[in-house]
Amino acid sequence: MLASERLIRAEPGLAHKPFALVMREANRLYVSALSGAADNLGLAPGISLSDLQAAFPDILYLEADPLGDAKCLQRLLRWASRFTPRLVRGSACDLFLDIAGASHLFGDETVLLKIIQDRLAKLGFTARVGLADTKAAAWGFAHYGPDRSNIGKDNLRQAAGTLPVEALQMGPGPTILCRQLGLKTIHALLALPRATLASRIGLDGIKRIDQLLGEAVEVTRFARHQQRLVEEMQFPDPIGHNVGVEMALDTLLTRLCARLSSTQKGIRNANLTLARVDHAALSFSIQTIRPTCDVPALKRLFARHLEQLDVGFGIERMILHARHTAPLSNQQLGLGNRQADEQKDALDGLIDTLSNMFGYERVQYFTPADSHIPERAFSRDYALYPSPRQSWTTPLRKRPLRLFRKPVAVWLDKNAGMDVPESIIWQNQKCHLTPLTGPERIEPDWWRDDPQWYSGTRDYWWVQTDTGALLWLYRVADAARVQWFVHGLGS
Amino acid sequence: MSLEILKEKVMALEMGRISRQVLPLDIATIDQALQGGLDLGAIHEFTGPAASMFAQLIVQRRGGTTFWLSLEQTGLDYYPAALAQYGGVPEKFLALYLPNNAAILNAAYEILASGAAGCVLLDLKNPLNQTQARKLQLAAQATSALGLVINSAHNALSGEGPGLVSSAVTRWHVCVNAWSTDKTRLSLGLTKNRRGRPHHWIVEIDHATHHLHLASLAGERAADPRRTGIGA
Repeated sequence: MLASERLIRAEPGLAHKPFALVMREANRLYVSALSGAADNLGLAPGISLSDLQAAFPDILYLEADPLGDAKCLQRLLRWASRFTPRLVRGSACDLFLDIAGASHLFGDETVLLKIIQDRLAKLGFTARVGLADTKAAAWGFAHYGPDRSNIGKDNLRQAAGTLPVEALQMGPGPTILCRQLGLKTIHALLALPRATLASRIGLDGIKRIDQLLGEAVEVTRFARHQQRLVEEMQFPDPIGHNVGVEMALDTLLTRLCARLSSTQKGIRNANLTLARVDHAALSFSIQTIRPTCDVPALKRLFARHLEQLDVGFGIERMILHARHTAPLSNQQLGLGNRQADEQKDALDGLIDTLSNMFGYERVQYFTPADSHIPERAFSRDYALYPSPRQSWTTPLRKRPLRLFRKPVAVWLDKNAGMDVPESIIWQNQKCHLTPLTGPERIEPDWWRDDPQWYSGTRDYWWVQTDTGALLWLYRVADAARVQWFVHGLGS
Repeated sequence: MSLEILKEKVMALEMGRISRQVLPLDIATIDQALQGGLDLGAIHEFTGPAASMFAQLIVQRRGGTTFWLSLEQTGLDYYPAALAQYGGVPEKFLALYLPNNAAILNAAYEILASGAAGCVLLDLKNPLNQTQARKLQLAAQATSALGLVINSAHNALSGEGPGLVSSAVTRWHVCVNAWSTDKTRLSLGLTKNRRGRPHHWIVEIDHATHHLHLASLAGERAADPRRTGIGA
């Protein structure tokens, strides 16, 4: 249900249309879920798409997105944290909430069950809720019991007896066996002597019964909510000066870094928001190449933003938020190679500074790419987000030191046909050319639509000008004319 | 002798540092003309059509991380795939594409002052003025970084003009004289030298080893000034 209701929530037009969600397994397309409107068509999930289409040629089907469903469930889990802080996801679409000590905040347990169900319905989700004293029982009642069943401690044994054996979650083997033996309800199982039961459904089955009845322990590890890494400061008197802001920033950073370093984490991206008295909010972000808890270094990165700070009538609130943290890399201190380590630290610091000063997209390094097209033989990467380094292979033929992004057309003073021209106008100067090597023919990638290579095959020459430059020239020729371009400089 | 010491002191004051660090080029006459080699922690300027190539040789000799600063709208990239052919290390080459001249100067100042970089290559459209050049010199002077300003558009034939970094310690004018698959012959003009007098050499680069060696003395240079690119 969650899968289809999630889609209806995003696209309300789907609400009254029957549709199916389709998943691919090996080469078979099968229906993984059906929408609520398709319920009465007499179909069950699991049939193949072709069977579905044979029965209902016009039925709408969409691709299932299990990852999206899981994300949706994760968000619902967070949503449910308004009822209790102790919650955890089960298998499939199950959410477990431990409401011990929380239900009175919403009235009583029955009211809470209704609130949860109603609010989920408002969000567009149909939910079955059940409440019991054990986790296994709560699952059983939510899935197989009457809706919104609230089973107290005293009548647990009695009420559980009415549940079918599937509610025990024993796994397919024992469940099918029980069905075949005619043991349809838990009551029927409880009536049997334990010793004979254990030989039929195994010790695991016995354990499940005990867990359901609260006679054996079932350990639940509740989801731990990530701490919001935020530090805040409120000032009774607004700060009207940069020095004050810097001092407060220092305190905030120290506090945040102390919290982070206790969990061996460091800041990769942090945001500082300054709330001004006139309700304007100033926000600054910094990024670092390596997770760090180094307060002075972080402060230096912020300091650049604070230089041009306009405090207006004063700052009344400062909020520091670590948006992205990562485990501190426990660097082993090099023995004897301390200078190299320090050099590396200084370089990383410099890259941080530059990336924060001008924007990380402006600081780049080059990575090799596999192409014979000159301008495609490398790609650019941001220095702040380094990817694993690959090794460069030296091109076989001589390539220019400098490359024009867009090849520059050269002017010929007379038409030389297909030969390398004797002289060209280059940088407003007439130059005589001496061909050195060539031609080297480079063909465009036919599978790529690159406007720069529309002109087709290029023949490259190295030429030397009489002014002392090395040019990497190429010629493109079609039936109408021959054109020459400078693509790079060798010097 | 005392004059030598005095000169050294004045130079040290100008350069803002007590102990001089140099990068020898391993060619006796050039190192002699530079009194030991290229000053580290200083700004050097390269002009002429082969400016990038010679600057690349210096970068390679200096080692360390290289930062190349240029305007984002520049059409002329460094071609990393070929850097190794010129003796460079593409992994240690970082490019900064910046929106304007002020940002380039700002970045250059930051990089030079940090001491983390080996060389800073500056591709400038507008020439540096005296104040800007001095400021960069101040940033570099406490470190062993090299600030290399590439100004290939400047034409030495028209003489000293705007577009030259006036407070650079050295200025070179470089042209390609001859080229073959295994070596390149460069005409190397030291047009400004705060360590001594201007000079001119013909040097050869061995492409296999990226080794620089002297091909001939200035006296043997070609008679046609256009071929060497150095004005009379």
